[in-house]
Amino acid sequence: MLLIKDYKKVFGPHLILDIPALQLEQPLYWLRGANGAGKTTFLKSVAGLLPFDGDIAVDNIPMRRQRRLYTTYVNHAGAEPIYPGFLTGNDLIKFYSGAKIGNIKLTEKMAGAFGMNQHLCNKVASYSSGMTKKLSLLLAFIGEAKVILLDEPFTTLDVEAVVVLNELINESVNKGIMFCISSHQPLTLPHVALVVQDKTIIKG
Amino acid sequence: MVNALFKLFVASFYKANAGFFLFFFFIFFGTVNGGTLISYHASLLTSILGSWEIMSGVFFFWILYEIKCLLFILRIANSQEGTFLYNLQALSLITQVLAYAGLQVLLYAPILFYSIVAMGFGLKKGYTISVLVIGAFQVLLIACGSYTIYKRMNNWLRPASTFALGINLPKPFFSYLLHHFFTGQKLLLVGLKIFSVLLLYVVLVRNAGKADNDSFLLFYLLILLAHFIIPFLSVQFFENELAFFRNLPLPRVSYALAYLVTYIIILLPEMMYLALYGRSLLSFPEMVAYYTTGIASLALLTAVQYAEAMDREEYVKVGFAVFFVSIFMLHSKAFIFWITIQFLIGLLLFWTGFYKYERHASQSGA
Repeated sequence: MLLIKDYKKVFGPHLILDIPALQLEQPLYWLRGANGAGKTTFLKSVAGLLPFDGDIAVDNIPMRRQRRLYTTYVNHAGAEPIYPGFLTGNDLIKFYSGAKIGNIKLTEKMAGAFGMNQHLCNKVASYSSGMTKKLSLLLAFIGEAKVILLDEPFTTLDVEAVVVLNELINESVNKGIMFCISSHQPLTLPHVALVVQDKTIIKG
Repeated sequence: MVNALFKLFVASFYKANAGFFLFFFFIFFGTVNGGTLISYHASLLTSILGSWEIMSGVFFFWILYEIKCLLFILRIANSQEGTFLYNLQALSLITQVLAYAGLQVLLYAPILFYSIVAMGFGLKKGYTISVLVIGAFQVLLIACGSYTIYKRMNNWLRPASTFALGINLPKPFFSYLLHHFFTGQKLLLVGLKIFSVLLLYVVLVRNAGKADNDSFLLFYLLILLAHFIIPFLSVQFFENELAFFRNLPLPRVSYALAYLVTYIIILLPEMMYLALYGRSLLSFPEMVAYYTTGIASLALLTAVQYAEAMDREEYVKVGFAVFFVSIFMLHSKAFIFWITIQFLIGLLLFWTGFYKYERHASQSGA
């Protein structure tokens, strides 16, 4: 369960989001909203990438007081992932697996499904944007996540990869992992809508 | 097009380097008594025009400045925001050459202006050959710079840079920053080290026996000042390219160590040079104190950026503040006090600001 309380995010003098209370306990949420509404900001805040006012907790583990444990359980894949060009895909997978207590064999299997295995020993600098996106999605599934946040996961993916990603999400949902996905493409999996509207988020 | 190029490169260059220019203007014009300013510069120009050795040294600094200008242009061209510049390839060769040469002249203008004054002075005093050499040097430098920009703007398909050795060594977290500097910032690092070695050579070898502690202190602090770019780029690297790490369960101390290890290694060549050539001027504990002061200053400047997000201009101001306080502290031989204070303030700012960090407004988007 993801619990958000008294959440506020401002950029300079501009209020971006104000969420007094929000409780998410369904397996799959589709976060919708116009461009610039604050979807990415919200997902980044929940992932711990952006500072904010208020409290966010996953399964009663508050981000502020138990940050290490919290980030062990919350994974995130950004809309436009950037990684240092000198690292290889394998470097990042090993690093994530170490930090998030992940199973490398399982990740390699997922990489195979994405058709990435032969690219993982290459440096990220040589990756196409689609390949970088696949890598970021792969990293988001590493470890013992309770919540996975995916920001525009289908953008730049090829048709086969979209199918694989949907299967992965479905399998993970069956294992009890919660997803919050922002996407301009409609989700084909059963979901509950979350709408960013008037600087807050409401269940649709 | 001219307007866009001017805004993108020239206006932003001078805005970003306002503190840098102010500092050198102060050094060259503010530290000299008003009444003796002209005679001071006349004797300076006479030395440059009359000695091939001094002229070579000045040329070296001009080359460093030219590299700074080029790096600024290339950084923008290599950034995501600069991708639209590939459209410049559509221009004719002559238009491109003129545009890049014009760009070069505008960025190089402060030195060009001073060298034109030097040439005018040289002609009046009869240093014809020196004047011709300076003129040819400036033309060559601008031509080389323009060619470099031309090559970059017409080569968008180049393969991404990788290690030439093809060996994939293990990369622990604390080494990421070092990898970044040794791969993505090679030119900058080489430039900094050449600058350090040159200054240390002048004060410890060239003037061995003549230089005193005060001259060494000034030269060492100038080396440190040049290195102040390192913490700025380090924080940018961690918070831009490694921003996703904040979603990993890594303690703050891992980040702190990554910064610290990087600074210890980056300043190691200076320490080694001191140990080799500085024994006549400094005791070993003094060398270690200077070295540790450098690391502490870089650590403090890193932490300051976590206390408050700042752009390059604001950072330069803080850098100069640290520089001037360091002059006072090291001159008073308050090494331990200054090192401790810098580390303590740095630790406090880093610890309290790390999770509140947000990129500066000029780099953020909603």
